Amino acid sequence: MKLCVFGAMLLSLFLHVDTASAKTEILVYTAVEPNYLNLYKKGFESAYPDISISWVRDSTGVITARLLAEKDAPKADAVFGLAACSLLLLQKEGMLLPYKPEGYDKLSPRMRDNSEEPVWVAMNAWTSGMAINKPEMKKLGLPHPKSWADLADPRYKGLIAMPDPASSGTGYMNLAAWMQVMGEEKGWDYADALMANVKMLSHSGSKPGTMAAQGEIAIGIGSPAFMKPLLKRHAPIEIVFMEDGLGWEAEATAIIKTTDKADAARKLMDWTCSEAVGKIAADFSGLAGRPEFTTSEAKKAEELMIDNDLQWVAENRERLLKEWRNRYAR
Amino acid sequence: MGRPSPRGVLVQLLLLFLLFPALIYPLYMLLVRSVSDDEGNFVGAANFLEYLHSPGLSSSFVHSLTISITVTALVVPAAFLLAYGLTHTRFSGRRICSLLVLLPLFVPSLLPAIGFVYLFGSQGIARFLLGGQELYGPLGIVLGNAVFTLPHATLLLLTSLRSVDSRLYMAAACLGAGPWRKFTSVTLPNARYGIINASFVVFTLSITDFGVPKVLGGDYSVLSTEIFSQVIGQQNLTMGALISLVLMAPTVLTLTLDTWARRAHARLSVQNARPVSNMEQKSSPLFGFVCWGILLLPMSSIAVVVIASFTAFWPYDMTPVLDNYFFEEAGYSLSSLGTSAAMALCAAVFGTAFLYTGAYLVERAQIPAPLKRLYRLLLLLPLSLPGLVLGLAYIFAFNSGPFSFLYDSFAILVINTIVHFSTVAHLTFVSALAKVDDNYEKAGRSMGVPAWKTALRVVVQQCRLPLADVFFYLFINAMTTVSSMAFLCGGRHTVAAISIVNMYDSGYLGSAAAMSTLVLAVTFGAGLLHVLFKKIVSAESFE
Repeated sequence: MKLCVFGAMLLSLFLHVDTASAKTEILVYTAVEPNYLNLYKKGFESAYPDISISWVRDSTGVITARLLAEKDAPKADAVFGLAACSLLLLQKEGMLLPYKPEGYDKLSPRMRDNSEEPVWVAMNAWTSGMAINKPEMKKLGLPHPKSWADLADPRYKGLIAMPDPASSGTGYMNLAAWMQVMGEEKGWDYADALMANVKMLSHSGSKPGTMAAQGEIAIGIGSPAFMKPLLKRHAPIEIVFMEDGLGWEAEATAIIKTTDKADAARKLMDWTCSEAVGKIAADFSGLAGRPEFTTSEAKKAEELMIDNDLQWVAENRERLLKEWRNRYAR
Repeated sequence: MGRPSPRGVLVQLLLLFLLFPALIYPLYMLLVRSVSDDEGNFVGAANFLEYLHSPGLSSSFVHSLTISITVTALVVPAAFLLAYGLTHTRFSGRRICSLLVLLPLFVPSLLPAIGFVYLFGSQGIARFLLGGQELYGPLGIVLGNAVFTLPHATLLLLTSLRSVDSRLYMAAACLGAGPWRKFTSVTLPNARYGIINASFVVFTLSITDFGVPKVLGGDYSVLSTEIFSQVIGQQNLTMGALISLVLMAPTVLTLTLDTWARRAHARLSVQNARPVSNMEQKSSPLFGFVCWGILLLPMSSIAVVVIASFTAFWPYDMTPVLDNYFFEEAGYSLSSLGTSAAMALCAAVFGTAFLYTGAYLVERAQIPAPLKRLYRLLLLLPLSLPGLVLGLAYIFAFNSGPFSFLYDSFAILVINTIVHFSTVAHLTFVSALAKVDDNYEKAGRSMGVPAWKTALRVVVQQCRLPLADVFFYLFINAMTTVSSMAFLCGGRHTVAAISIVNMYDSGYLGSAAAMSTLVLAVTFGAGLLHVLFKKIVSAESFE
């Protein structure tokens, strides 16, 4: 008898039976930092009590790979807080449903798809930046670099870690920025000079920043949005925005074409343009989709943001990465 | 042999039927994917040619081989010294030593790797020992792999050195052989198969591992991280599938060689060997020193992680705190440990039941030989399938098509784990069943007891120890595996080992250390239960 009960318990565990509810449940894929997920879920569900969100959360690369792997039979109803470039990849595959949400006009033009039939709107943006370990730099007796140009100075040789453009979205964002600002010929010259200083490439975009925080490396290139939490935990780092132009990327929402819950998914698009999201997003990188919520501190970064042609960035990805591999693969 | 038992045939067919979606279909999908373009058209060897011409891709193959050969060359001699010390000599703390050897088996492979960051990283407390060498890169991967493969090699060599017949040493002594002569003409020849076997196992484990290069690889690319970067970083699933096949080539080769060596060895092995007894073991402080010296590396790399999990922000704020254990602060949750434990329990229960039934039918039931051969062959396959490859194959097989209801389910994690570790479990049952007298079944038949009743009542009773071995083997491996979960997790279910990788990547090194410590606590608890169970069973059998 006891064995039967145990067996039934195991079986129910195995099948993971979900209890049905009257609410519309939407399955949303997201790359939002885990500590913000609950804020967003609570905010949305209190604004739309008849809809509930079920998250599938992972890094930008994993979520994008997942969506592409599932393209013949998509599981998700919507995507929330994924890099706009990734959404453009999905759009190329014809996976997204166009919708112009309420509040679309209130977003900064950089933070929305400006085509006739928009498929995405963004809640916030994140930019390039670097984390500099203060004690290590003091030990080395070097001034803190302030720009991309500084980072290519031979005196920083062997002190830099950065995300590998071939495996990290943040890494590719930087590469695309150099190419757009300097033009491709000079851009690759710059990449050569910088790579001569780089000690290590990482697979993940947040890793170089955390390595700088732990003193594993002196300078970590990444995104300040991911470095800010390290400051809260007393990491001895200074976060610096490169003076000579910041690459950037938008965290955006879109609807998957095949969903049978399009109405609920549209509500999520509407909500992305809302004040509530603006406030949460401002806490993350400071650069909100609705400009009135952008923090005064982030306004400085905003001025440094380059004119980023996301379409160009997405279209040239394969070509640029191939060249990258040919030059620097070890 | 009587006539085929219809019930046995039916059950065996059912098992084979279950293996179809769990093993054959995913592998088929992986093969198809590697010879197709992104739209799914057949392109033949085009992908492979592209692979050969991409400089970064083909170098990762050379890197992987270099690393694995180096690790094998370092670990096997070290493991031999350890095993020799533990079986042929006496020194103080030998019993503790023989338990501590197993410690790395209880943790995910990336735990000692994180330990090496604390020990030898830029802020590492023992950094001076590396003499200015860079930890991140080949050195780190070799060190990390050495630690996690050492217990596997040691266990194999312990078995083979224990089986050396002590009467051979006596005979050698009578013939006037000195210690060196005894070693070269008795110990080494008898341990030869163990050494070969251990080399294959170490090589395969280190070429397929993903946890260690993920943490310590830096930008030195190896095959397993390359698959990950192709699939996750560049969303190039086709190239991921192709590199998976490349990774399988060396493992299939070693498996073939190993099977061949096993056959050659079977002819030589001696039945009823009398192991070297306590009396004959020489007291040797030197070997004590060597054994403890070898164990220092794995032990310190694990201990430092446990210690670091209780410090605020290593190395800048060393205040002892419990903060790292509150995973919500880092945006993670303790629930992944629960998922791991539930998954491991399911894999252990269902896996043991499935594999035991299969092994019993193949070894004992009267069913047609082709069925038996097919089952045996299928269960040998998973040994040459790296976890990462199996995981990717599952993604291809289950995201659409006839089995898509399993996609992103808890069940798929369990099934993947069972299949991934099935070969060793199956072989354990096969050798255990070989030792159970088949007169039980004959007696049962002659008394008119149905065969399945005999199988359940008598044979299961006789196989309690191997059943427990397999149960705990599956449980502990399911708790610690990283590579087979890397592609399958991330949906609704995340296991502890993967959340450790994620925490490490997003900079919550303390939380990663804390979660690793919890995993160690669970697996160590399971290990204790296993020992306890063994004690009870052997006490019963003496009554």
